[in-house]
Amino acid sequence: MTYGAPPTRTPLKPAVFHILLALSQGQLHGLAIADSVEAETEGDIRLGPGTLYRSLKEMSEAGLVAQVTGEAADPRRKVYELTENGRTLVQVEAERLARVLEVARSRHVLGGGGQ
Amino acid sequence: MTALYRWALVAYPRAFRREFGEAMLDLYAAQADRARRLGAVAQVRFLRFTLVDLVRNAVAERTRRWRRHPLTDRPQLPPESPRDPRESMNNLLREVRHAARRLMKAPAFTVTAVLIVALGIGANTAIFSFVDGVVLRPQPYADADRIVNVYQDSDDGEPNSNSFPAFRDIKATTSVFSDAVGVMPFGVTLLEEDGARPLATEWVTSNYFQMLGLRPFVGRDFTPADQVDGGEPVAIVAYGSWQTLFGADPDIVGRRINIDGTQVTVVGVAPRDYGGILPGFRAEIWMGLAGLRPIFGDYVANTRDNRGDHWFQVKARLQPDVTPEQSQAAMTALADRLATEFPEFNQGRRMTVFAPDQVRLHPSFDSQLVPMSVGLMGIVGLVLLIACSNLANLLLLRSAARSKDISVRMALGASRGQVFTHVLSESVLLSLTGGAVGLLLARWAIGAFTAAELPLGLPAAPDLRVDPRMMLFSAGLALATGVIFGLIPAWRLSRSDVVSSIRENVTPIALGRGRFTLRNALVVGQVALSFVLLVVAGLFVRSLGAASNADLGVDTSRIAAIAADLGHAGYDTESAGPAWEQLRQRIEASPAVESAALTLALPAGGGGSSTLIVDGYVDPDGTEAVEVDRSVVGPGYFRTLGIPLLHGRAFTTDDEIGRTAVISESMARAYFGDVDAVGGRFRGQGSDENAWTDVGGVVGDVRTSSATEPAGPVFYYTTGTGFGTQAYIVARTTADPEGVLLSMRDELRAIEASVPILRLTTMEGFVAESLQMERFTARLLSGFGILGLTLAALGMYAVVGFAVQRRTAELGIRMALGAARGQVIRMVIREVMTLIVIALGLGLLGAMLITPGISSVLFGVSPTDPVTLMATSLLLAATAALATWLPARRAAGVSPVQALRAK
Repeated sequence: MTYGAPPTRTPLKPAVFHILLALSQGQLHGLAIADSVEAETEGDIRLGPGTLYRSLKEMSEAGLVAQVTGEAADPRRKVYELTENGRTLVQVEAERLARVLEVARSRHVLGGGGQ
Repeated sequence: MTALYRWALVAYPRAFRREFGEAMLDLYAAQADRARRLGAVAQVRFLRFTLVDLVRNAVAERTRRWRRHPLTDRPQLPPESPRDPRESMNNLLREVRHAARRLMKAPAFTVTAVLIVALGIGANTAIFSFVDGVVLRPQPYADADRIVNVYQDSDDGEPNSNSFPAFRDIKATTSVFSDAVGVMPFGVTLLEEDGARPLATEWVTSNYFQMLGLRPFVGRDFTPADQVDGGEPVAIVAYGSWQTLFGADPDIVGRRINIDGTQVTVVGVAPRDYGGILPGFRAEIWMGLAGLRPIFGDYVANTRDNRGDHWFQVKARLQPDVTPEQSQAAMTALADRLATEFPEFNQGRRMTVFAPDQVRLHPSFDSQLVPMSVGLMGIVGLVLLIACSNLANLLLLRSAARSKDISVRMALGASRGQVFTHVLSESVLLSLTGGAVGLLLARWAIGAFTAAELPLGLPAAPDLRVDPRMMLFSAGLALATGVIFGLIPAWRLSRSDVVSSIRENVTPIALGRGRFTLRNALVVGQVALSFVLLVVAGLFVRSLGAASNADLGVDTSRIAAIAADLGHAGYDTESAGPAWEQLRQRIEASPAVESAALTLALPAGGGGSSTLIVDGYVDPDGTEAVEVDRSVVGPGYFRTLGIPLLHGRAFTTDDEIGRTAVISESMARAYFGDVDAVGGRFRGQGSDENAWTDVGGVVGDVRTSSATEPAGPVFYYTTGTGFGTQAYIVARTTADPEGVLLSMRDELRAIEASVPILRLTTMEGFVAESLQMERFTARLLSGFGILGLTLAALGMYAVVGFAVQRRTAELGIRMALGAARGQVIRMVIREVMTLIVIALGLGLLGAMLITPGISSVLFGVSPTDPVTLMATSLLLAATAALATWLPARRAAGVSPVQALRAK
């Protein structure tokens, strides 16, 4: 039972998922992605330069993100956005996680979840 | 820090770096800035975070082509070429094959380079095999880290060795030790039909092999009966002795051998690679203590019960959970108890436990061991350095010759990395081959060393072997040599200017026009290093010369000496005396002999010492007793050896044992306050207080202990005819003493045909033999010096040859313009000589820094000995001149027309 999702292995690696999540806000450059991920995970996930750009490279190759070109692109400020595939994937993964969350909640493993 | 990170980015593949490098730097800078504001701890965390990020991702990126894509799960597409590891292996092999083919085409170059590396690595491997054995290689004991060493103090208060009763007490301290072994290194002689051979020996308690966790290779271990006084004498022989001395006799177990005249049964062969408790040396035989009495007699055997004789090394195995510190506490308690029970022997005598890693040979040797090893490795390291810089030079030469070829490759798109691989594969191939040949050379050298039976003055022969450790050592050395010294030409070549080198048809990496080129620096380095080597070698040679010519206080010309052991012919102490006197008279009766005398030891041959009370003398520190060397000599000894009698009289045949002594000038001055000490008296400490010995005469000083130790106080006494079974007869001859040796032997044989002769030598030969260690050192170092010099000469020759070849055209023009042949040669030589002078200056500086470190082992020569320095400078200058003159002459031989056409 596939949703016609891109041929990408799930569950995604946390770095990949959070980068996708960050980019769901719109176009961002590398530094902003890293900051956003760090803020959203309350510092649990910090992306170093290597992890960030290697992930972005692999994600471009898989067609999940694309580099935004134009206006004499500054090599230090690479701006990325989600592709359609990327947007679908983050949605699929988020739904999967939501279902996991549901299960966890129903089994009372999550503090403050069920009654 | 940002600069450092930029530099660290080379960890990533170039393509990745090019695309993301700037962006990564930007992110890094922002994160670093944030961490800095959070304080030191955050900064350290950030540093670790960055490092992990760098390493993990760089590795992942560099290895991605062998893995599937983490997101798409597809094999990675070839943004970089789709190479699998097998293919890169094939590429490497192909590169090596090509390198080998290229080298085969230049046999002269290849053979020279391989030989140079082989000499350097061979010398290092040989020396390392010794240093490794003595300092590094672990002993093959079971649970070696639980075996400690226990030492009683010697009389001078240093940890030394134990009495046998003390060993028993140590072994009985079962609260801390589960077992202990006693080992006495005391050489025996194997007597065979064709002669006597001294054996490096360990006399051991019967639990020796078992406690150390070793099993005999064949035969049985010692049993408690082998240690019982009065038991049958048995031995276990070393594997090596079994192979060489006993011809790998399959019936070795049960074979009876003649040890110092006693039949000893061989009960086993020791484990193959085991050489005794001294690492780096090999014992040749292990004897059970039962053999002590039959072989060495009652005097030695009785010391087993004497707390005053300290002959045993003790190794003890710790009880489980006991630390060396706890065992030390137990031994301190034992020492205190022994001091109370046996105050006359053990008052103030400590017992010290040394943990297994604190001792190699013995506490008193170990302090010299490391400096000696470091010194030796340093010296051969110099040889290797010379060899390596030579190799670098040769590779530079070759790369210069091949640079056009390389330029074409680069023009055709070869990357810098490929050029590196290309050049490095040659140098590594050369150095590895050199290393293999070097290993063979080392094996050969070690064989030669071992066959020569080095007289190291230690109770065991050095254990030199070529084992996997050695192979690893030489392989590592060779690889390092090839990579490091191949990088220099590789780097230069990869930077060469492609276009100009092809177009101009000249050597593109012309090695600079000035004087200070890399190549010249290498030559200067080689010459300077070989200068240092030669100076060190020269100092040892001079030191040996000084020792050989040292004034012993004896007229050494025309002295012949013979030593034998009448005990082996059935004589005892009683009957030997008259036999000796008879022999002395027969020798003296020979027309070629002026006089002959008996003695227990020769000058410079050592001897014992006694603790004396000198009547009327008290040491400045209040003690009465003084330690003085002693010599036991017969009548006529002083006259025969030409030792001047200064006062009083010499011994006569009427002198009774112990009543009269003759003392040396030093002793008279030191303890009697006057050279004329005749009428003074002394006695042995502990002897009857009225048993004084009178000083009958005073003679000139003689170096008794060795040729290199200054003469000190000595007293001579005579035993009349009671010389025991072992003694020397010295004779002053009328002509060349060599000619008298054989007739002396015949006289001995005439009295007793079966007596083993221990020594038959001239006094000069005896002194020379006593300096074997010094001679060996001098020869070894000279060998290294000559090796260094040869290598440096080769280097100079190559450099000058190349420089001349490069300037053939210029020289041709000069000659066409009327310069004479000699002028051209002189010009070339002058330029090289400038380098040599610089090198000698540097070498002198290096020698000044190094030689003070060896002054303590030099005899009679200053570490800045002008003769050595001058001779070394001249030798090097002459070598340089020759190495330069040959190629220069060839250059001048070229006709101007030829030279210009060569362009």
